[in-house]
Amino acid sequence: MLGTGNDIVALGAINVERTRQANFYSKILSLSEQQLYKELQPPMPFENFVWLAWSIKESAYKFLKRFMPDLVFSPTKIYITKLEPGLDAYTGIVQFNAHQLYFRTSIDQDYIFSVVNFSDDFTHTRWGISRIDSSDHTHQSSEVRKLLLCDLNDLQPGNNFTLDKSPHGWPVVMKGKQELPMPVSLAHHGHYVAYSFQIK
Amino acid sequence: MTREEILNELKNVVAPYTTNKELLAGLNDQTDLIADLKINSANLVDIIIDAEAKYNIEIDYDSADKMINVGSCVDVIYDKINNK
Repeated sequence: MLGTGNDIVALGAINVERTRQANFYSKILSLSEQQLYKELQPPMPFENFVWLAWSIKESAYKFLKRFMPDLVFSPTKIYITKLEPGLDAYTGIVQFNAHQLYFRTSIDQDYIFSVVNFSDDFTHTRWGISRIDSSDHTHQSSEVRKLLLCDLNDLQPGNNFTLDKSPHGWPVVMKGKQELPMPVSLAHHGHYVAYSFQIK
Repeated sequence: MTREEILNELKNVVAPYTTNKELLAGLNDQTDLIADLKINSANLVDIIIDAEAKYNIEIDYDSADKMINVGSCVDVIYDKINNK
């Protein structure tokens, strides 16, 4: 199953006080995930955990949407079953019904970035993150596309890749008029943009 | 409340989360929160929480899943208000 899904949360754009309110976080975290937080070592600020979970779930949704175009994003129906701190990222498992995906999440002082894959091997997954000047939606959208195309064209020079949108709304890589079987995912929030793609 | 009254008030609920003020003024049932109003998905929970507070209702997970466009948001709020 070749796919990719990513998400970025700009920590400067979140409402910390609201995130800590039960009526807010209970719409994102299941009870088992709230238990995961209690067991997490070393501990992290609760608001970071909520948005870490959100970014993983949104990434999983983007991954699965390609295979289930009618899928609706429902945070509490996509759940994290394993979460392990690592040297430079948190890794673990996220599930939706019988579908099991693997995630890799990095937390910076300014953002939380997640990418998901069908296996726990991220060797063939590429991603990039950039800070941008404006949080305007049009600017975010153009900057994240520029960033992805720059990496794609660096990776395979001379192809003049472009991006288009599938009828279902996800981004696709084009070479001339041909759509390439290379799944890509785009994300933006506040002053941050990010992409991921799967090479093979 | 009628559907029309809810629709008019919903503009105030979603206004803080969109910069597309032109489309906001002409909000209709088909307006998609993410695709049309360019609302970041990270703000969808904010909109649900704000709607719960404004209408003094509780929006459960299954109902929240339906709130994709303006029409479905109005339907969910209308049902919750009239089934209190």
